[in-house]
Amino acid sequence: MGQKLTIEPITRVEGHGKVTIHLDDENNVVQSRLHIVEFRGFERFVQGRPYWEAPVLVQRLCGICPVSHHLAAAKAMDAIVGVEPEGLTPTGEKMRRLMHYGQIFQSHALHFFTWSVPICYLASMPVPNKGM
Amino acid sequence: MNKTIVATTSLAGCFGCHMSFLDIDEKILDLIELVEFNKSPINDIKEFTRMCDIGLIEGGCCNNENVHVLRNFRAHCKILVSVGECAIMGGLPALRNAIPLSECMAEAYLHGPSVAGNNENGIMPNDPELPVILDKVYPCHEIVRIDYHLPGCPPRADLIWQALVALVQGDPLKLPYELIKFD
Repeated sequence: MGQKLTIEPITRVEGHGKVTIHLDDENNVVQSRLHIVEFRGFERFVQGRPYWEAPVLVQRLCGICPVSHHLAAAKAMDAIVGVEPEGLTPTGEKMRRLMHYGQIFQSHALHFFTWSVPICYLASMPVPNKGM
Repeated sequence: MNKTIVATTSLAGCFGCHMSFLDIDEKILDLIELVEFNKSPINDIKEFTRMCDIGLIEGGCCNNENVHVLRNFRAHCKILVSVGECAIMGGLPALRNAIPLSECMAEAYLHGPSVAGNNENGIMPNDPELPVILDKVYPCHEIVRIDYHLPGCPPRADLIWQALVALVQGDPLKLPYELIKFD
């Protein structure tokens, strides 16, 4: 078995990932693997809690895209209380759409201005190759 | 004046505190004048390259890798700050502390609606590359000494900013009540 390269942590996703690249003796890539290293147990610990807490609890799955989780939980709660998607009030539907568009807008701006640009622009920073 | 060296990390958190930190918006330009980042997801520096003045910790410890990173931060940072409820008291992930870990794993990989019936051999994550999950989620101060705590889920951007400026300038951390109340 040859060398193994490790990239850890991956910093442009939420969820604490790690990549390992396995090489053979001629340094050809045998396998590249993405490891999701974090387990928090949301699936279990949200059970048994008041249902109106769910949208706020699951926001904490990801601080980068909390609105998406909030809306997913809101849909699940709709199903639990017996509201069909067409049973939502027009205002409710519009507010959810507005929130989601806001999230997309914020997410793109965030990625561009604070994740991608600094890496390209702040070239004086040490090259991030230490983990490799 | 030498710039203050700052390192940040996210342990068992959601990156929300880092996002709140970035919510200082245009003040990030003032920040760059004040501090230089070392190990941090913000600049993607993966290992410490020197001793740091301030370490900002987001998230508690839910696996052995978190504990390792936290101890590494304590060894490399003169001042260590727990940022947000997860770092301070385990936060939301600590809700699993009342439930056996095996139940949480079983729900996530065997019985949950999105996996039930799709995992006939009952396979759980077992790759040696994966960190070992701890029995409970631990707040940072139970693992290492923590110098300051910034409350909130997440702490608002202004709170992180004012605390950081005070620490950089060596002032006492006298934060106005309005910044640290949440209602």
